[in-house]
Amino acid sequence: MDESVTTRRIVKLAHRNGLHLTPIQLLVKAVSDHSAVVRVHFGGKSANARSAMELMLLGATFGANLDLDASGVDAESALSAAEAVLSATGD
Amino acid sequence: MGFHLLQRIGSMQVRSGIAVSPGVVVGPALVLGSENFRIPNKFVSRDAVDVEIVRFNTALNQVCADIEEHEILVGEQLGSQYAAIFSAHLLMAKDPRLLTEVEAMIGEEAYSPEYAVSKVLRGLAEQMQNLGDEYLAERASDVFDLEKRLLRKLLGESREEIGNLTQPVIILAHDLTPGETATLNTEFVIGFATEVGGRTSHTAILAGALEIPAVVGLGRCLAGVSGGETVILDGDHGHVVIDPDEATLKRFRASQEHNNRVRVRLQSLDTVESETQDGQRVYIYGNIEFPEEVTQCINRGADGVGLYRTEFLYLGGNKEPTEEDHYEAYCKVLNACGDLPVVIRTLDIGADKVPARIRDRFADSQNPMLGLRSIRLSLQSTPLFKVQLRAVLRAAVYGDARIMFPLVSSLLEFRQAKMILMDVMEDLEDEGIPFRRDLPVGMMVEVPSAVILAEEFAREVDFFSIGTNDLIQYTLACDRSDPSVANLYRSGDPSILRMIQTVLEAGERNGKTVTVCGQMSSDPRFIPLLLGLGLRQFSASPHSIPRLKEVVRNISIPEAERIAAHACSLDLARDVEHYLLGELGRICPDLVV
Repeated sequence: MDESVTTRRIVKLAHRNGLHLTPIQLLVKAVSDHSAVVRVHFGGKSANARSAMELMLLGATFGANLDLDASGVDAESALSAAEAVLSATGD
Repeated sequence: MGFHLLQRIGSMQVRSGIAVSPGVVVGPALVLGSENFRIPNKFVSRDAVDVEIVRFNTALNQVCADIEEHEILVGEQLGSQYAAIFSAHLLMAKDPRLLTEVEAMIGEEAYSPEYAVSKVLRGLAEQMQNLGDEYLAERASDVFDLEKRLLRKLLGESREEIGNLTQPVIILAHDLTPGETATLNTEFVIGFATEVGGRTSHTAILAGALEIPAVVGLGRCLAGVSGGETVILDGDHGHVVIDPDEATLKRFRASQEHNNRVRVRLQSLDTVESETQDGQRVYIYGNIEFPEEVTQCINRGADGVGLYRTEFLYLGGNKEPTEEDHYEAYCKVLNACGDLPVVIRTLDIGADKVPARIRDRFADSQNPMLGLRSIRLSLQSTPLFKVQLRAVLRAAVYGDARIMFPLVSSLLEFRQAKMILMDVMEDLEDEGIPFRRDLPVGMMVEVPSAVILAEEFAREVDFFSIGTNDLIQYTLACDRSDPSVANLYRSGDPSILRMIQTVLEAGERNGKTVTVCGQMSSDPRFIPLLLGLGLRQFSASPHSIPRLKEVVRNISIPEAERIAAHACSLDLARDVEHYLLGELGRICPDLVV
């Protein structure tokens, strides 16, 4: 019955201004449409992808390699949605 | 890894700032944001935990609804770019981190929702401020905003403000405006500390006037403080301890009790004259900044005002003070003093207290302490100087006003200043405006050159007042606000004692009175020494007057002379100060903590 999967991928942050409010807002929204738990790891810190404040505190800048993992039934699609947001330039 | 939000809970935080108003107090913190919220309780009862969690959730939902409403409204009225501000707020309000953390603090540790919200959000804001990213540091203000919104909901109508206190508190704030400081209810506000501000900021000066222990310039440290924490505020040494451990608390409580006991006992001296055991009359004047402080001097039986600093007139508001502004202030002081002397010092704005308006005159000064300040500034800005002199001369009709020029370093400067004073008298005479012509004109002795030429100066001045703060700084070439050399700044340095002696002797030979008005004369340790050197006039901060009286009344001149002779035979500042402390302990054990 438990079809939960854990998956992981590395995404390069394409937003010029880094992980600021605009991409965070989009990321939170994208992840919240899924039931999977998504975490973003960067620079020895990790953040719940639903928590805007934790994401901000990662201090990720343009070009940062963000290490994403997700677990849950829709982990794969959650990560794809997250990647789509983070790898877009936002321009 | 992870976020150490709660790292400060239960752990002592010690901060050092600038001591601007003396006294040691212990009490609960009241952290003031711009809206002056106050967190009434740090904890709730265990039984109430579930109810409190519901109360928090309700408040959070209301805040989210409010923000959404604002977003729509602002979007319609101003456009979507402004509405985006609110979507950021909403994003934070809906952050699961906030919800889980606050619920855990209430549920597991029985913290009040107000305290938990404040602690969590301030902890996050603090981390944002410390990331070294300007953009994120600015987002911290959004977090503070959210905190305010939540507190407003949680506290509702019962929100307490500083005007509405019912128990003693120590105020911690980023900054207090002079207006806020002035209206502090001194019955309940037992001390305050601010993150910004300097020794000569308005707020600092007001604290001294209100006689509330205060420390300013702590640096950023309040983001993680919610209010309700116990705070020790040491306005004597400039320390603030937030959430102290038991041992620290005990130590400070003991010294606080002692100080209170002594203070109450010394109140009995308010009505008696300062006289040594062998009947030598000693004059103790007060140093003031504001006209209102005269009352504190008079109530303590001061013999007058030995130093009336006039800088506040220049630091307030955004325009240069008018002659009437000066005149009114001086009249107020003179009227309150009756027949007692009032020494008015002309503008002594230094590099550390330059108002924006005249800051450009200091432009590019590499070394402001040695630059254009005090009398130098007055002599180069004659119109500004004349305004002040006119007001002093006119007000002098109403009492025993004396005028004093600061930072005089050459005879020429003193002569120039006096010449301008004569010009002003002529102008007033021509205009038929009443003024007093024969008021005594003296100078501050605070530059070594003035000490070296004390004999020459003594022939031209009516009196000397030794400003030990600058004199020590200039003699020992050390900036006492620079921690790396502050240990060189010693009132007990033999060079300083000899300088004071030189000035006293020059004054004596020429029949001119000498006062010491620097911090040295507010320090009871130095009173026996100064008396022994021949000083009979002290000018000190109003609150230290009772202690000075106590020393004077417990010593005889021969004993003071013996102490001075021995102190002058020592060759290290440390030994001098140590010896004087020992002697004070013998004469007035109560004054030594």
